[in-house]
Formats: sequence, C-alpha cells, structure tokens
Amino acid sequence: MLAKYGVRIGCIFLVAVIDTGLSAFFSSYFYVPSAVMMLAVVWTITGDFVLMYAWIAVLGVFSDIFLFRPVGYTAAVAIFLSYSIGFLSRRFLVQHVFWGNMAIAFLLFVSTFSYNILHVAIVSFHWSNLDIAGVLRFMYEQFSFTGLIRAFLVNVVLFFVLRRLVDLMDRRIAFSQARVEPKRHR
Amino acid sequence: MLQPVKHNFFHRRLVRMMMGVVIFGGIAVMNPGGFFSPIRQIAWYVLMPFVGAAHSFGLYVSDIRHTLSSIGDIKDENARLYEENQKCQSSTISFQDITKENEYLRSQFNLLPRDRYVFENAAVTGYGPNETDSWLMINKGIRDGIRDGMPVVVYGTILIGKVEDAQYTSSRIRLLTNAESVVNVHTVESRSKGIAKGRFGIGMMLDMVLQADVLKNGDQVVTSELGSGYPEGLFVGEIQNIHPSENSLYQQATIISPVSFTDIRIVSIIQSEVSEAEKE
Repeated sequence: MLAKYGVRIGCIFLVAVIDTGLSAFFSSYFYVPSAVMMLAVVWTITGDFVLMYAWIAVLGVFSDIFLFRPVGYTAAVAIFLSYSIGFLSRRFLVQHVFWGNMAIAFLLFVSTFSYNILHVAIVSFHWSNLDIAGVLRFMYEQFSFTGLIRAFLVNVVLFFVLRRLVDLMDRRIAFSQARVEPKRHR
Repeated sequence: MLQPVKHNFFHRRLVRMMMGVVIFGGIAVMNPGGFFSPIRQIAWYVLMPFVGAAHSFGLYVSDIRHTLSSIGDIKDENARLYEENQKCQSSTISFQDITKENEYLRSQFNLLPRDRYVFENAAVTGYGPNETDSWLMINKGIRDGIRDGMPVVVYGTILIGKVEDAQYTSSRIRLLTNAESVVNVHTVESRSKGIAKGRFGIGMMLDMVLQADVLKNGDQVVTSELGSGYPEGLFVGEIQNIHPSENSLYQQATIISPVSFTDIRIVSIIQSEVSEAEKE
C-alpha cells in the first residue's frame, strides 16, 4: 500500500515538473498541453473514477499550489473532467484495437478542448474584471485550431507515456507484493 | 429473490463529482493563497532542480524546432540583417561622436560614468504552462536580496515584469502580459501618457491615451515617472493597431514587446537605482 502511495505521489510530482518546465514550449495562445489533466485521464481509464476520486483531488490541489493558481480550481476541473471521461469511456468500451485507440483519441480530444476552455474561462474570470460574455467573446476571437491540434497531439504523447509508466509501476508493485508462500508439509 | 442493491446517496458518482466541484470551486473562489504558501515554498525548493532540468530540455527542443522551421527563411533573414547592419554601422559613427562629447562633458564636471541600476542576474528555471498564467520562475530569491515588487528586465533596459512572489531560493516573476499587470507608460516620440495593461497573457495593450494625443504605429513605449513602482525610461515595446476605446473617450493600441517571453534564459532584477550621490 505504501509503495502504491509513493508511486502516485511520484507521478503527481512528475506531471507538475513537466507542466512547469516543458508545457510552455508547446503552448499556443490559450491552448496548452497539460500533463496534470492527462494523469487524471490515465487514472480514470486504468482505475476508476470512484477509486481515484481522492487522488485526482490531491493532484488538482497540488498542481494549483505548485503552479501559483487559485487553489482548488484545477481540482474542481479535474474532478468534473474525470467524471465525464469515466462516463464516456464506459459507453465507448471497444474491443477492436483500432477503434479502441480511436475512442481514446476522441476522449483525449474532448478532454484537451474542455480543459483549455474551462481553464481560460475560470482564470480570465478570476483575474480580470470582465463579465462572462466578455470572456467568451475574447475566447471566440482568440480561437486557434492549430493551437488546439498541437496541444492535443502533445497530450496524446503524454497520455501514452504516463499510461505506460503507471501500468509498469502497478505491475511491478503487484509482482513484488505477490509473495510465494511455500507449502509446509506436516 | 434478488434484492436491489441500495446505493448510499453520497456514494453515487454524479453526487460525488458535484460535491467535489462545489467544495473545490468554493475554495478557489475564497482563494486562501497565504495558507498554502509554506507548502508551495517547500515544493518548489524540492522540485526546483528537476524543473530546471526539464526547462533546459524544453529550450533544447525549442531551439531545434526554431532551427528547422527557419531554414526556409534564412535567405530573407540574411538580407534583412545585412540591411540592418548597414544602418547600425552608420548610427554607430554618430554615437561615437556623442560618446566622445559625453566623456568630455563628464570630465569637465568631474562625473564618472556609472551604471544607472544595481542588478542581480538570475537564470529562468520554469514558466507558467498556460499563457494566461504569464509568469516565470527564476533561481534567485530572498537569500540573494530579491524582494517583491522589484522590476525585472532583459538586455539592460527592456522591461518584462516584476517580482511577485520572492521565496527563499527562488522567485516568481509576473510578466507584463499577465492580466493583472498595469504599468504607467508614455511614448518616446510624442510623450503621450497612458497605461500598459496585460491582455490575458497573450499581449499588452496601451490604454487611457487622450484623444488629443498623437499616436503612430511603431512609436516606442517606455515606463513613465508616475507610480506603479518602475523606474522611468525602461523600454516596454512598440505600438501597433491604434484604435479608439469602446466609449471613444481614449485611444488604445497593441504593444508589441521586442522579446519572446518563452525564449528568455537570463533576466536582471533591478535591486535599486544608483543615487546621484553614489554616482558622484
């Protein structure tokens, strides 16, 4: 159990470092790839929304603390998106490899788009004196399809890297915990 | 007979999600920033080397990307630089005359040439991931004499922002493009006064310029002597796209900064201005 907690905390630190050190180089206007969001999606898909609920909240709060944002709002956005992804993924469960990957790509696109829209709406509203109509108008004016696609592609890479990492660590922990109990002959 | 499974109301997914959104959204609205400050300091202290390494890798990747994307433009760029070089050479000659005259006058008044500001240089170690965040992190903090509110420049006089959150070994710089950033400025050419406001992290806007003032595209904007905690004469950018404000009372324009904020590697923090007595 302790090892699992350690791995999850390590994952949270890793995505915070990626978001602070790397994400800015791939951002375009409002559209930014988010390792924090991708980890939330990975946890939702590989685990379950109910099981990972608390960890997604911790992830959101820590990322807000680390990225100097109003604490709580990334947690709220991550919980909302995680629920939505879990809701959709249960209905898009596809066995076929190609269509399964396409379903994941669709979920990632939805999460990239929604995360950026929610991020901009909340942060702009929080840090500026514009009303919601003004923020929405500004977002519409600044919409960039290229920026969105670039953020989506980087998110896809992040998703597969994080998913592989999470799978690998989970398997290693499961392996180390599965102790072989030798039978004792009386 | 099978009994229907009874779900506790608070265990339903939708209810959990809504509770989480309401609770964390409420915390975000209340914004208890100071409460989390010690955790933030510890987290940054621990993760700073890793963020620095990731940032260096990001710069390396960014350089490769810029090189690849600029191959097609190298010929045009070369021609433009050649032309600029010619102009620079001619202006250097006139500056040499002015420098000699300045040296002569200083010797007449017994004044030694000194720098105008006391700088502390620092390396950039991280950026706010989203342009709306508009901040960058540096590797100097309170330990090195950095304090909140100190102006931050690059190349000596180009203003990029100010220190907003000085920690023990690191500090956060709020960039001019931040939505909360407001700087009193004036244009060099006509000395029209106004304010430079950050615009959602993607640029700056010159605002509150009187209709009677004359603005031209390409006018240079520098910090003014009025308030806002910046020394006078720091270069902010050039103006473009001049238009009247929505209520037509003032003029507005877009300010283009000469630096790309994601390419900045070293910044200088103005710790103090050298006083006249120190200069003498």
